[in-house]
Amino acid sequence: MRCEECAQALGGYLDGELAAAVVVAFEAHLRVCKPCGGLVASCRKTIEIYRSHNGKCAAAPLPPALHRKLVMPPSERERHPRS
Amino acid sequence: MENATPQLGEGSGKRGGEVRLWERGMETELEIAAGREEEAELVRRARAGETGAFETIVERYERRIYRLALQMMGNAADAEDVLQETFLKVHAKLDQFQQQSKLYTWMVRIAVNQALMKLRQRRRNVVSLDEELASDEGPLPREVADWHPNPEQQFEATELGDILERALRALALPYRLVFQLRDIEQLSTEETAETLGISQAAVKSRLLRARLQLRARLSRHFRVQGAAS
Repeated sequence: MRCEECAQALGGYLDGELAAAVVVAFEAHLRVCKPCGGLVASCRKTIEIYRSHNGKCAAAPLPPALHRKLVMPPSERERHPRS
Repeated sequence: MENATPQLGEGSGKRGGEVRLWERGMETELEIAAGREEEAELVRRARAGETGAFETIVERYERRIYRLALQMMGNAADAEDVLQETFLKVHAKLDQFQQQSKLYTWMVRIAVNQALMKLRQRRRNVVSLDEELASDEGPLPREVADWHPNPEQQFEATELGDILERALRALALPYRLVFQLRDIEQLSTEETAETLGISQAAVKSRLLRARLQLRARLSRHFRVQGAAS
């Protein structure tokens, strides 16, 4: 596989959508091509770091008042409109 | 300097029907089935009017939906509006949930629609999501600097968060949305395409572009000092 073909297959590789034979060729190319290897590694790290960051941010609790509004029945909300 | 060669054994991706363990964690099929069953029961109870069941749904997903809304809207006030509108719709439409997708995926679709409506009201010139963006992916960067082995450890949590948020917000909305739904929320290509009303080919193309742009922006911060950009 050449770098141009690697570029074509990059998205499919990251998403695990390539056929097994293409994966073998892709990974063989990565072993001998440092730029393509670095690109794949940093793309993967980009995804991982965003996912991890998002998970940490999403763990923070919402303000209690906002949570109470969400669980309030719609009929009640009409009596307590949004501020 | 870090060797840039990826650890191929860990991340070679799904081959055939294999689950990508590096991405999905070690959840087994049994656990997935049990989770689906528990969720179906929760939905059934909420549909039957059990207040506690709906509260459980809110408690389980409110923070993730808020986070998604915040990233889309860019400010807390609008994100709170989107969050409230989303759960109002979830409450009103729970009977229509077909359980062909996960409950969270269905809620994400509602939240994205609510957020997009708000964005369109706010910015009449917002880029249309079905607009054809540049289709040429262009050449891949040939000078790829090595990244630190653990770039997250180079920065304080707040600083890292700022770097990530700035890079994400710098993406054009169509790219950002696809990245958020596919890579952060982990919707499938098909689910993302349906949610955004675009083709699966467009999802794949935009996702690759988004990843490459984010990677390039993060490289400014995460590369090993002295390495080429």
